Amino acid sequence: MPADDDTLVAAARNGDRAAVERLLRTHYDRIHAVCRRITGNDADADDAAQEALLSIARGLQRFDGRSSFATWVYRIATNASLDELRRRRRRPLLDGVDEHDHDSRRSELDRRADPSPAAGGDGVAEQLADRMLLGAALGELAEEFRVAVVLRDVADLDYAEIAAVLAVPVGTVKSRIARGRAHLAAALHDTASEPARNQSGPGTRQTTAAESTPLT
Amino acid sequence: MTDHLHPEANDDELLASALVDGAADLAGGRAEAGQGAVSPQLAATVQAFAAVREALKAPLAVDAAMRDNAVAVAMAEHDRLVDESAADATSTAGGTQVVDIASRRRWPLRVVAAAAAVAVVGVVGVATFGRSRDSDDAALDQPSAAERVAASTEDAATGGGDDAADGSQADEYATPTIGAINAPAEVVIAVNSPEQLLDLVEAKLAPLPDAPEADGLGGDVMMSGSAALQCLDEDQVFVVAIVYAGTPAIAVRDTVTGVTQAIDEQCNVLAEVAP
Repeated sequence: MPADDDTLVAAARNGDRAAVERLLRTHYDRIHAVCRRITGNDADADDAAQEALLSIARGLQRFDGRSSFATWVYRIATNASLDELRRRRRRPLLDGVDEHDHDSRRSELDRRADPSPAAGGDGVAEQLADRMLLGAALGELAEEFRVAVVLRDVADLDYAEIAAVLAVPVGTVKSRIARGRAHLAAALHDTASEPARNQSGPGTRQTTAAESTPLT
Repeated sequence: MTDHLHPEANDDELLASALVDGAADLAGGRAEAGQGAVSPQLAATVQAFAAVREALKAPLAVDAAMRDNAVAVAMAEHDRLVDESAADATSTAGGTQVVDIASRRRWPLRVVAAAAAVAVVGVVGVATFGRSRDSDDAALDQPSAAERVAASTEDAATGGGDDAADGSQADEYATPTIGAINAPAEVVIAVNSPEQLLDLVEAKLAPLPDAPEADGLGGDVMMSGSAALQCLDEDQVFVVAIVYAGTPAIAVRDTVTGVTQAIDEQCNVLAEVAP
């Protein structure tokens, strides 16, 4: 039976190196997913997830369990992602970011991860298109809405935990999640009703996204 | 914090969202909203929100090599800290105490600190009175020292913490350092959010009527050797040493724009708050 977070954290704080590594390894995938959904691309998500793991390693001894470990971890991941976004805004876009490369890498990873027998066929292409569309719609959301939705639907934190991470009231969290979902649902619905355009690639995503009402 | 610039979610969106999260039941939600039967529109909204949630929950593939590398880097940092900690344990020098901002606001501890301060003021007052009436000026300085003892008492009684700040009062941590009396340890304040950072910097920069010389622009804790100081722009001033979300950093204020930042020793901006 796998050890739960509390057990691993206690062991880690008592100097159990293997417990530290297991905690980091266990949470990495979801940390990366949170970072990926907030930053919008793999390169920034990789950097943010790395920074988050470093912060966890540095701060583990000071974590005293008043919040759940998961809440603490995703708070760190969220802050690392937002820091990465700020850094991205600061640095000039000379040669570093190539979104097409990121999309290609994501597509390849998703194709490898897809266990369905149809992998490589049209079904996979549709799934990839949906995921890319969702990513584009998320990217249009204002940061505050995007982070709230990601913490709820990707990190699976409850309203109170999200409120603690964002330092806002629970009512604000509910409102942001509802508005964020409404925007995403509208973006997906708009595109689903235009199947021909939906299948024509990244350029179409931008056209479709522009037609929805961005919460920015 | 409120969303001044964005429309609030309407009732149907809020209800649909709560239903998707299992935070409300349909009948109860409709009754609470003073509405009757479930409208097709609400049902469609719930369905659409559920689809969004499912799509977001779908796991994203992770590059295994990237995961291994990230974990290895973090473990190397962990090992370095363990080694450092072991070295510190054998050192005779005072250590660094990390104090969470939130933990500094617990009233029972402040009561204890205030009681200690009163006791010290009494002792100092008697001693001063017994020495000379010409030393009034020196006696007037003693409340400041007493405050420092009070702060020291509170600091010693509080430990580090990880929870977020709640309803902060800036003046509550206006004097976060341990005073000079029998207190060799250094204090670094743990900050976990941009809001806490701003509160702290505002507090540090606020004039202290009782101890005008105490802080100024901070610099009261162990910053002489911080590598982060080299990261400052010419318009930025150092305010105070902090630990931001687990990372040693400094809080700085841009004297031109008023922007507050937390910067780590690699010159990364960990948080930024506009005035």
